[in-house]
Amino acid sequence: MNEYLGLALAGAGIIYNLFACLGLVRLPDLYTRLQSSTKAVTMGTCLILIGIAVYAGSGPTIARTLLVMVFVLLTAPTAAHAIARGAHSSGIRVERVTAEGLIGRTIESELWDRIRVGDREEKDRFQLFLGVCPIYDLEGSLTARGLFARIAPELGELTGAVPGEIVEKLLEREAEATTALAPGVAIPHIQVAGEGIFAMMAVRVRGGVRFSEETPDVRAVFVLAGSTDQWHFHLRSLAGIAGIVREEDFSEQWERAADGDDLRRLLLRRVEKRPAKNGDR
Amino acid sequence: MEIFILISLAVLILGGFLCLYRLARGPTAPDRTVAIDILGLILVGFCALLTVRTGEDFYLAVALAWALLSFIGSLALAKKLEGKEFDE
Repeated sequence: MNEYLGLALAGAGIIYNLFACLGLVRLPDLYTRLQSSTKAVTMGTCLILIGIAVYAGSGPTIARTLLVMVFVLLTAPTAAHAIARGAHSSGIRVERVTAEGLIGRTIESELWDRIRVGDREEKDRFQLFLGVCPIYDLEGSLTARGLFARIAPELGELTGAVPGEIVEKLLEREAEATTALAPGVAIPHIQVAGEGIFAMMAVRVRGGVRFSEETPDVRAVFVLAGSTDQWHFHLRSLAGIAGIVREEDFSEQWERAADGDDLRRLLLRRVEKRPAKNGDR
Repeated sequence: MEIFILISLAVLILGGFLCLYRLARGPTAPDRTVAIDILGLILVGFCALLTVRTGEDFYLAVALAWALLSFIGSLALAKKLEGKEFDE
């Protein structure tokens, strides 16, 4: 019985030794070779010696094997430490191959996390704006200028700009290229002077606004006004609104809504519904 | 039993040759020093197994002497790697 136990221990030690030698051959630089081989070989040799002590079972052999074992346990780590120290002070450097692979992946995933968090923050902010922005519900039909004149005072209050200027800027922007999107939605947006300023308004015009010849019947208008440093959030909001109105039954529900509060609920419901589509990857 | 010991000795000899491969390839002096150090420990295990194969106890004395000399050799080489002389 003792014989088999001893041989099993010795066999385990020999497997340790073999893997240590494989590590010595396969690993890329001195320090990895040192760490794989010295520890495993110390362990393996000690297992062999214990196995032989168990196998022999007689006094003198056990004493000698234990002596060798204690000696190996004391010397092998010391020698490995001395070699590592000598190699380090003689200028051997750590091979970068393995470390680079690890670092590269970490930084990349970290960047992705950051982008995702930033995205989520801006999305939360957009949702916040939808929750508080003024929503007008206008009867009858209007021209673009008429509509801008109606919203300019409120927008001027929000951004600190003069209402007359806001109307001019909105009309200028409209002349460059129409902001009306088919079907029945327009997103006029301008930049205002200042820093950290952003304002959003939503307007429903029951009779429709005549923005241009091609889009005579705009019923949903979202107005954005922001300073230059808010440009990124400005674009995010444009994308957010585009995402809201893109859905099929939007214009139908927009027309059916009872009042301003109902319209806001409609918008917020759609923002909450969208999370998996754009922001989160 | 006998065949198990023979296989074990063969595996240790294979490990020894892997150490010799690293000793020959280098590429730096510390690599060769590690290879010699490990080869010494492998041979300690080899000698210990020879005790079982032959029934002679003195192979353990060989193992002990080998471990001692291997240790001293490794320390000397490590000191040399550090750029010092042996008596420093």
